[in-house]
Amino acid sequence: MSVPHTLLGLLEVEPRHGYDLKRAYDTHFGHDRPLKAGQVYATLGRLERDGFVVVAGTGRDGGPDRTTYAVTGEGVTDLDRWFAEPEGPAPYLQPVLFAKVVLALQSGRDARAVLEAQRAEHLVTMRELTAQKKGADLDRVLGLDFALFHLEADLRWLEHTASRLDRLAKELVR
Amino acid sequence: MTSLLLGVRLALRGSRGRVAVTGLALAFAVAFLLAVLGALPARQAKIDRLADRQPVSVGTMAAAGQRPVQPVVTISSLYSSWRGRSLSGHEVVDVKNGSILPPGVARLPRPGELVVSPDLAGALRGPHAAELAVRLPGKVVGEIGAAGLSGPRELFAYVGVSRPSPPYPGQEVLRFGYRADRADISPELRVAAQLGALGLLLPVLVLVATATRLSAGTRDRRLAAVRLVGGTPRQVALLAAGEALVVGVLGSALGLFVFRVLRPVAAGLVPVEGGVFAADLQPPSGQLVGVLLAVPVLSLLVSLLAMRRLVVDPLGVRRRSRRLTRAGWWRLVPLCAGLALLGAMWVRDNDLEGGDVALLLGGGALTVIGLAVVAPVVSRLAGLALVRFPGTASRLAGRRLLADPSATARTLTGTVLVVFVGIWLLAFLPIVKASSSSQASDLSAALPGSSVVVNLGSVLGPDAESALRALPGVRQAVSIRSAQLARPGIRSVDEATQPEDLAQVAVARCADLGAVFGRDVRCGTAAAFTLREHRGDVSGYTKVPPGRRVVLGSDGKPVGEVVVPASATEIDLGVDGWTFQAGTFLDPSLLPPAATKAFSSMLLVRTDGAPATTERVRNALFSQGVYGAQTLDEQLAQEDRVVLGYEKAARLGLVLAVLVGGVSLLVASVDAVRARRRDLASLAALGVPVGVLRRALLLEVLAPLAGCLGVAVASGAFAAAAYLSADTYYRDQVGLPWAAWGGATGFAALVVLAVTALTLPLARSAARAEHLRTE
Amino acid sequence: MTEPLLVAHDVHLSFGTTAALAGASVQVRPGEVLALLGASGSGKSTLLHCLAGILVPDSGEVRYRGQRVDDQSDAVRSSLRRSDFGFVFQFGSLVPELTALENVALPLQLAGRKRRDAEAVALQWLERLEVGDVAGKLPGEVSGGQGQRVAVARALVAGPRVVFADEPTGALDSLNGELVMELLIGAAREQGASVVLVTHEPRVAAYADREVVLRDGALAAEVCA
Repeated sequence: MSVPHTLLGLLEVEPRHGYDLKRAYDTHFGHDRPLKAGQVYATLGRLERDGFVVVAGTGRDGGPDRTTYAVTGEGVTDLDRWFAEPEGPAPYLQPVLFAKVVLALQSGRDARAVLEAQRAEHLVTMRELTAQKKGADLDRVLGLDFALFHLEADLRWLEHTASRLDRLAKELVR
Repeated sequence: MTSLLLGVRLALRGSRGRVAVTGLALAFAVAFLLAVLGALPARQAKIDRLADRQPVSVGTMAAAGQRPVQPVVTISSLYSSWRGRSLSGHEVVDVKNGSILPPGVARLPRPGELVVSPDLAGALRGPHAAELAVRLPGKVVGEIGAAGLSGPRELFAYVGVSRPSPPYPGQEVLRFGYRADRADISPELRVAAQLGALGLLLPVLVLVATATRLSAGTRDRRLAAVRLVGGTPRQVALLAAGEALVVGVLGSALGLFVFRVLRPVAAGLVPVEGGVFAADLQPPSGQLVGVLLAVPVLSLLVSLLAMRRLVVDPLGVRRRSRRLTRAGWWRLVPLCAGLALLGAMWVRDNDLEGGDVALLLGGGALTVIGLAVVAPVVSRLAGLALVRFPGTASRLAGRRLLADPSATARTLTGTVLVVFVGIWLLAFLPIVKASSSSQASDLSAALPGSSVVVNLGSVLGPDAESALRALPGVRQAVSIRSAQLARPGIRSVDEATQPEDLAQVAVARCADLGAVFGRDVRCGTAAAFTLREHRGDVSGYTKVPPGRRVVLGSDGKPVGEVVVPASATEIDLGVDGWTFQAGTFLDPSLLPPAATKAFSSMLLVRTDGAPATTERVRNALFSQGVYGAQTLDEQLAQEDRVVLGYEKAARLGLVLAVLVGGVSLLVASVDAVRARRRDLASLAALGVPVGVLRRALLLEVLAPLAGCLGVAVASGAFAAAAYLSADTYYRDQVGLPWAAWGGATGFAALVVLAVTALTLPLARSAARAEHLRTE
Repeated sequence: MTEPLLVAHDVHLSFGTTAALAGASVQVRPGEVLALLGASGSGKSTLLHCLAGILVPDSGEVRYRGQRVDDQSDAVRSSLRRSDFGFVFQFGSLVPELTALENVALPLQLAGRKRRDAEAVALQWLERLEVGDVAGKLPGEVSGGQGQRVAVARALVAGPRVVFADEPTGALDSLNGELVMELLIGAAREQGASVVLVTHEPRVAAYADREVVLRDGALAAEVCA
C-alpha cells in the first residue's frame, strides 16, 4: 500500500489540511486499518521535502491549527507515473490497486487504462511463472502454483472491477 | 463412399435404441402397406378359386368352340343358407368313376356319401347337425382341401347322388376349372380400393417421416461434431443417408417378416363370407418389391430433406427456419376459407351441380390443409388455457406448449386429419346405404329380418303351404302370386303394345297379408284392395281399371279371365305396391282355379325368429325342391355386400389409419420423453414429484388433442351437414350419424390416450438423476 | 516479423439484433499460442468461430495464409478445417456414438485415409496423450479429463497448422485442466502448429504467448510477451 501516493492523489483532487486528508483516506481506503494522525503528518512532511506538495495556506477557525497542502507540478508528474506503471505482482495488491482506481476516477484519469495496464502486467508474470513450471521439481512447481493462483485471484478482481467502473465512478461523485 | 459406410457403421453401432424404434416403426409401415396392397389380390384369388372349381359342361365347351369329349360327371348345383351363412355345393353323379376331380377333392362321393369343406364337416359334427341332414344326406367320406375352397371358412359340399334331385336335370361336366369368363373385380371396387390405399398412405407417410426424424437432437449433435472436424455438407449428408438407409433396409426386412407372421391373423379379420386364405393376402411381386424398396428410399429422402432444412453447422445444428413457430393467427385462414366455401354450399341450397362440386372439393381440400395448419394455434390456445390453472403440472405443460406449440401439434396432425376425413366419410355411408333399395330392404321395413322370403317360378301347393304353417315356430306363411292382366282381346304378351294393355296384379288373401305383416288391417268384404303408398315420390304400379280382363300365365299365354271389381279397399301393410310389383291386389277367389299353377309367386314366412325355425322352414322348402330360401337378413347381407363391404372397409380403414397415427404418436412421444431426459431429471432433482411430471406430460398431449379433435369433429360435421344440405333428395331421409361420429372420435381419443399412457412409465426412468450428467 | 498465418480484419457479425462482433481485428502468427480473453458475451468465441471458418462474418475479412476464407464456399471451408485446422471445445466435440479411437481416426477417414491406417495413427496419438487405455471406450464412459485429451488427440491427428480451443478446460478441475493444457500446448509446439485459445481463466491464458482481450465485440487490449 503506497500511502504517499494515495495522499498525493487525494490532494490532487482538492487541497486539504491534514485532518481532512486522514478522513478522506479512511473513508475510501482505511476501513480496517485507519491511518494514524502521526503517519499523515510524517508523510506530508516527506512529500513536502521531495517537492511534491506545498503548503497552500494556514488558517484557524476556532479549532486547532490548520495547514492546507496542495500538489505541485512535480507531484502531478509523479502521480502520472504512479498511475501509468503497473504494480509489480506481489501478494496483497488489492489495497493499492483499489486506491489507484478510486483516485484515478476522482482525478479524472482513465481508470480503465490503469486496470488494463495492471492486467497486462499480471498476465506477463503469469506467463513467465507458467513457463518456469516446465521441467521444474514438484516443490518448485507447487510454489509457482501458489503465486499463479494468487495472481489469478488478482486478475479476477481486476476484471470484476473493470466491469463495474461506471457504477463506482457514480458512487464516488455522490 | 467412406462417409456412407461410416454412416452405416454409426447407425449399427451407435444409438441402438433409436435404430430399433425407427426400424420397428418402419416395419409396421411396411407390413401395413403390404397388407393393404394384398387386399385386391386376395379378392382376385377368391374369384380365381371359384373359377378353378367351376364345372365345365358340354355346353360351355361347345360355346367356346371346342370339341366336346365324353362327359364324366353330372352335376347339379345347390345353393342354400345355414344359420346366416351361405351353404353351397354340387350334387354329383360320378359317371366315369373318378377320372376327373374338382380341385382339393381326393375322390368324388358315391351316392349316399359327402365330401365337404372343413367348416361344414365341423357343422355336421356339431349340435345343429340335424338341421343340415335333410339337405346333406349321407356320410362324410372326405374333406375338401384348400385348393377347392374360396375361403377357409366356406360351407361347401359335394353330395353323391344316383341322379340329380328334381326339378333340375343337372349338367354333364367334362372337367373343372374355367377361368375364361370368370367374374372380374369391378372397376369401381378397384378404384375405391386404390383410393382407400392412397388415403391410408397418408398416415403411413407421417409414420415414416416421424420415425426417420426420431432423435433428431442426438443425430444433429453427432453430425455437428463431424462437421466440426471438417466433414463437408456432402459428407454429412451421405453420413445421414447411410444411417437412414440402414434403418430403412432393417425396417423393410423386419416389415416383411412381420407381415408374414401376422398374415394369418390379418386374413382372419377380413370380413368376407367364407374368410380369406392367408396365402391369398399377397401383394403382387412388383408391388411387394416396390414397397420393400420404397420404404428405405422414402426414409432416405425424408432424412435428406430434413438435412436440407438444417444447416448442419459445427456449432450445433440450427434449423434454417425460425427456431420457434409463433403459431400466428394467420394459421386460421385456410381453415376458415375452407369452411366458408363449404358453408356457401349451404346457402345455395340446391342440388349438387357443377359449382357445388367445385365448392365441395375446394372447400374440403382447403379444410384438410387448414386443419393441418391450424393445429399449432390450437396447441397454443391449449397452452394459454393450461397456464391459467393453478397446478404445477398444468403450468409446466402449458409453458411447454406455449414455448413450442408446433412440436405437439405435429404429432397430433395425422390423427386429426384421419378423424376429419373419417367423420366426413361416415356421413356418406348412410347416403350410399339409402340409395340402394331392393325388395328385401323394402320388406324389411315391415317384416322382421328373420322372415323367410322366397321368389318362386311357380306356386307352392296348398298342402305344402299348410305344412309350412304347421312347423313349430312358424307364425304365418303366405304365397303372393303375381299375375298379368291384359286388355280383353289380347292373346299373348307380345300383342300388348300400349302400356295400358297390360297390368301387373298380385293375388293374395287380405286377411293372410294382414296376418303375415302382423297388422290389424280392415279388409272388409272387397275382393280387390290396394296398398297405401309410403314413398310419395316413387310412383306405384298403376292400378287396374275395373272390368273384364284376360289373365296371362307366367309363360305369357292366356289362362282365363277375371272381372276386376269396381271398388278396391286401401289397406296399409307398411310396404308399397311397388315391392310386389303390383298396384292392385285381387282375392284368389276371383281367379279361375285352373290358373292357380300358372304364376310365379312370392312366399313370405314369418317365424318366431329362432335360427332353428329358419332351418326347419328351409328344410321343408328343400323337400319341395325350393333350394335358395333365405331370410330377409341373409338377403340383405348378400345384396348389401357391396355397400356393407364399403362400409366395413371404410370403418376398417379408419381404425387402421387411427392406429397408424397412434404408432406415429407413440414413436414421437417416446422420443420426446427421451430427448427431454435432462429437463425432466433437473425438475425431479428440484423435488418435483414424478406424478406431477407424468401429469404434465399427459396434459401436454391431452389439452391440444381435445382442442384439435374438437376442431376436426366440428369441421367434419359442418362439412357433412353442408354436403347433406345441398342434396335435397337424401336430406330428409338421412340424418347426421352422430353416434358413429362419437364412436370414431372416441376411438381416436382412446388410441391417443393409450399411447400417451404407454409413455408415462418412461417419465420415471427419464427423470432419474443420472441424466443430469452431461456427456 | 513473420507473415501472419491467420488474420481477421474489422470483422462484424450480428445474431439477430445482437452484435457479437463489432470491428474485431486479430492476427495469428505461425507457431504462436494466442489467447482470446474477455468476459462472457464479449465475442471471443464468435471471433474464434470466424477465424476457423465456422461462421461467416457479416462484413470484414478473414484471411488464412493470405487467402480470403470468409468468401469461400461451405465445402471449401470444411475441407480447410479438415486439412489445416483442429478443434477442442468444452463440450460436444466428440461423436458420442464412436469410441475414443474412432473419434480420433475420424478426421483422417474423412480425408480419405483407410480405416486401419487411420486407427493406427490415432492410437499413437492417444498413447502420446496418455489415454491409450480408453481407446475402445465411448465418450460417455470416460472421465472429463480423459475426454478432453481424446479431443486434443483428435485435434492434432491430422497435422493441423492451427488448433482452435474454446474453453478446453472449462469443465475440468485445475489439475486436469493443467494436464490438458500442457499436452495441448506441448504437442502443438512440437508440431509447429499455432493455437487460438478462448478462455476466461487467466491460468489457462498464461499458456499463451500473447493475449488479446475483447470487450463488446472488439479488441480492448493486447498483451505481448
